[in-house]
Amino acid sequence: MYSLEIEQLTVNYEETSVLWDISLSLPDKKMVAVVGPNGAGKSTFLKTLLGGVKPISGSILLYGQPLEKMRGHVGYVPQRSSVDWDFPITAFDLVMMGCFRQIKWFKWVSKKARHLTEQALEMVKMTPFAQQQIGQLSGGQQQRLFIARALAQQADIYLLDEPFAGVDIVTETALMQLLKELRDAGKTIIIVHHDLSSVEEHFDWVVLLNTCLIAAGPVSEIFNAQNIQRTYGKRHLFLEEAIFQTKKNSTGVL
Amino acid sequence: MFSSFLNLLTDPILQSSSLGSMLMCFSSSLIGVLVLLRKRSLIGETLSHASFPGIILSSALVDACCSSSQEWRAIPILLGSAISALIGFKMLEFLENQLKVKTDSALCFVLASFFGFGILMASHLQQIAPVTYQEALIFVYGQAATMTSLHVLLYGGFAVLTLGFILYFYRYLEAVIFDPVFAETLGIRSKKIDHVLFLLIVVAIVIGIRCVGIVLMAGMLIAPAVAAKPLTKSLSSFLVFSAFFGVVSAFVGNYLSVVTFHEKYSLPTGPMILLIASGFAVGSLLFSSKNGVVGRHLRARRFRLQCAIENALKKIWKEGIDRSPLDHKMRKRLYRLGWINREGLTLQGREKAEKIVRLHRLWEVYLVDYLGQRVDRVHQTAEELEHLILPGLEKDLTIFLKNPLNDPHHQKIPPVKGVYEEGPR
Amino acid sequence: MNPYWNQDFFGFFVVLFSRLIGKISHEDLFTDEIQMLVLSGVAISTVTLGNFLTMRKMTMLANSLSHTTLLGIVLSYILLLHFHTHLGMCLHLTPSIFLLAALFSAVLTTFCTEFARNRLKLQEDASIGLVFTTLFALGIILVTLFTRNSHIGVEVITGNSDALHVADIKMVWGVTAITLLFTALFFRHWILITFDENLALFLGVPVKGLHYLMMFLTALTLISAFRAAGILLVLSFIVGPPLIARLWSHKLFCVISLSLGFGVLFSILGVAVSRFCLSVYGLSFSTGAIVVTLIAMGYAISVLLTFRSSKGLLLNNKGATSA
Repeated sequence: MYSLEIEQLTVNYEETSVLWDISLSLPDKKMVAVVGPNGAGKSTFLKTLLGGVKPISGSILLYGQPLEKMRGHVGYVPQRSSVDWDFPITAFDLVMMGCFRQIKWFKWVSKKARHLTEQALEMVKMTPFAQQQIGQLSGGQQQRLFIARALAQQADIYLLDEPFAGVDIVTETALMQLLKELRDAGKTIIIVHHDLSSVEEHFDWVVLLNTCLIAAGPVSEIFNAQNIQRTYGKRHLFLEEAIFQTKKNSTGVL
Repeated sequence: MFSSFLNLLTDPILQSSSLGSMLMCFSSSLIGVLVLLRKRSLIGETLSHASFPGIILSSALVDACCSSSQEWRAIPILLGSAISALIGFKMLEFLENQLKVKTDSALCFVLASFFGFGILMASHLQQIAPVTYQEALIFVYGQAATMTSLHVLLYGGFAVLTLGFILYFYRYLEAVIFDPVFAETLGIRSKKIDHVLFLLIVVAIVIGIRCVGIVLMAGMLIAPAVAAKPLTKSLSSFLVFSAFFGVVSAFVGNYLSVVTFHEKYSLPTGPMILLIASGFAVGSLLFSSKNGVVGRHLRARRFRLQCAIENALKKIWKEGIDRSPLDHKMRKRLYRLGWINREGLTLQGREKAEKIVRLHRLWEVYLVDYLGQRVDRVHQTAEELEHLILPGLEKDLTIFLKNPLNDPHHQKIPPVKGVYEEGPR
Repeated sequence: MNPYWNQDFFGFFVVLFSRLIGKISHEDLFTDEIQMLVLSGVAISTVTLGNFLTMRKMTMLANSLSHTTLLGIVLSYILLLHFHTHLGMCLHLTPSIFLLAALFSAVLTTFCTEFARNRLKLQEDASIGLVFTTLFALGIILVTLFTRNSHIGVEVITGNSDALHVADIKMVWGVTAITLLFTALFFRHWILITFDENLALFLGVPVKGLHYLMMFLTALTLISAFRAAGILLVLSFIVGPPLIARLWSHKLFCVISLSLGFGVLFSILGVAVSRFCLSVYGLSFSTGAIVVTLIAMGYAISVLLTFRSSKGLLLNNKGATSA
């Protein structure tokens, strides 16, 4: 069973990032690392999987179904820098946002939503902090909250955007442990990861991305020096320059 | 019509208002460039409203202390509004930095509170000194018509001062605006330059509101700069163009206001000036050849057409002219370019087609061998990239790939010079 | 025969409470009471929306909207003038003009600002600044042409609290009811798109539609406050009470309730102070301006009081330490 099937995906996003002709098939129940240099399009990749960015061409299937039918099955843990931590909500409120679709549109809360939220908080061991304002929590706790939100959403696929940036080793290990438990329970975890040295230790599969797909497969097969060179090396400059120029020409920018 | 233009500048009644407006807009459009580059356009809105209590207070004080002649009151009022705006600016800084209030909330709060305090005093002034009240009110919507030669002198002086400041600090401003961290490494204290900048903004606003009014000042500050931006590449030309647009808007605005003068009413000058300036801005954004919307659209269409022509040419090269049905227009285009004649491809046409196919196949080699792409996938990408005819690109690719003979589909790559031996298949 | 005449500050409230205890029908309302009711109504409606606008960092967009309402009103006048033969522009706001004007303003502002940003590729702050000033200038020109009068006056900005009637109460509270209704219905949605627009988009929530709804309601509220408070006071309500409430609490419901409370409090206090100044010192001030000043003072006092408190946002107090 493939959790994710992508065919010839090409994406333009604002003036910068571009994804070019990506095709891959991900099996489910795996811990997947998405790796590549800065500006490679990793965040754009995630945003496209969430339906936030419309691709120019190509198709995405989640568990064999198109994206629109699978809304709510993908949980999203955003980059910490993009969240407004001053927002006056408690940990409980944040997690309950995951149950958004569970509650009828004219209601504010429902018993089912509460129950799901409490369960999710319990699973990430954040129940004692439920009534704290989100800005008062530590980095690791904040990440746990977002994971809990995806749990409450009852997502099958988890997308995490650089969750370990700015987090210490102890926290990283603890979070990784939690994510491994989720994987063992049958979820697919896709993480945009910035640290090459820890890929082999934690991940089953890796996707090497630099505007186009360099390679995707089990870590043992794909994660070798040659592929890493191709992803991070200077060979890419020709393609980058050419894609940049082509985009400028087709949008008429001088 | 030309004579009525000149009239604006020579007629003693109209002279002051036109010259005064032009000088004010000159200063504000120069400063507007810096404001736009710093992305702080809305601060103009807040500071112009923040100057209002100063205007009211100083009007009242001048009234109480000395009943000097009408004209000279302009000076203490200017001073009062500047001080008020500066206090507003300090409040803004305090709210954002010490109290961690979000920028837009701070801007809106200072705006509303200061202006409200001004209205508070104005409402009282209305009762005790209605004449002074009316005079103070002209700052809300601006009033060019009642400017005098003193105003012209004053504002002319400020215009010169502004210009002088900018010229003196030019190198520093350039450095700090584009890269403050880098500027620090050069020994330029960005904070000090920032302070100078905001002082200039206050000055520009305070002079400008007499002309366009408090409410419209924010727009007048940036409209000439917005008009100028798509037309320029350097800071100096940016400043010159912006000043040009500012002065012309002021002149035309005044002209239109005078020309439509009826017995009972006339079109107010302030809004007219702003509308002209905005007109320039929108026009520039739409039609400037470099980055205007229209220009971009046309260039994009031209590129697409070029791709279509090249694709048609390629098809003829690969499959012969008989097997490639061409529509009438495309046939004519290819004829005109000298790439086909009655029999088929001309020599030029052949060379051009081979160049494109060569690029295509070189890209395929690059994508497969150096980026590890799958062979069956690279054709699509190469289809797009082949139309990129950049000067050194072909040469660089050939050298980088070490002059390959075949592409991943085992087709021969056309050599650089000479004609492909086997001929079209 | 206004019982509030010549009352000082405390006397004002004595009269107020005694009237509240007795039975009052709406023919019996006096100016002061009308003012209080109208201003409170404006306060509730505006502060509710203001909470969301401040959280979404759209207060300057609201400022922009407040200026564009002038154009909206003029345009709807012109439009309806074709169908009726009303004479004289005395800014008489009938419900149809109202809704139409709010719709025009909201759509115009949002559309033009987004057009400038996305199509013309103009930076965000410049888009807002240029669009509203241009539209406002257009409004002024049109008003001058139609009223044949160059002196619009400052009333557009400050309103004229002394000229309020009972009809204004009904109008303002009608709008307040609509605002509260829509807020109640779409509360969760608005919170979601405010906090995490990406998630909202993904879950299929109509982000654009909800945004337009918020803008429309803001425009409606702005226009309803036109006569009573003018454009200025509304802005103060949008930012002020929410900012003050944020100093006192970090819980969402507390923040919203406190801000509503403060809004109504300052409205009533404003009327009392206005009466006080008139009675005791013979000074007349614009009530709207008094309320704005009180809000600013309220903020300053709250800052002083909460400075060392642990609940406030001033101290960056990260409680927990471990993951």
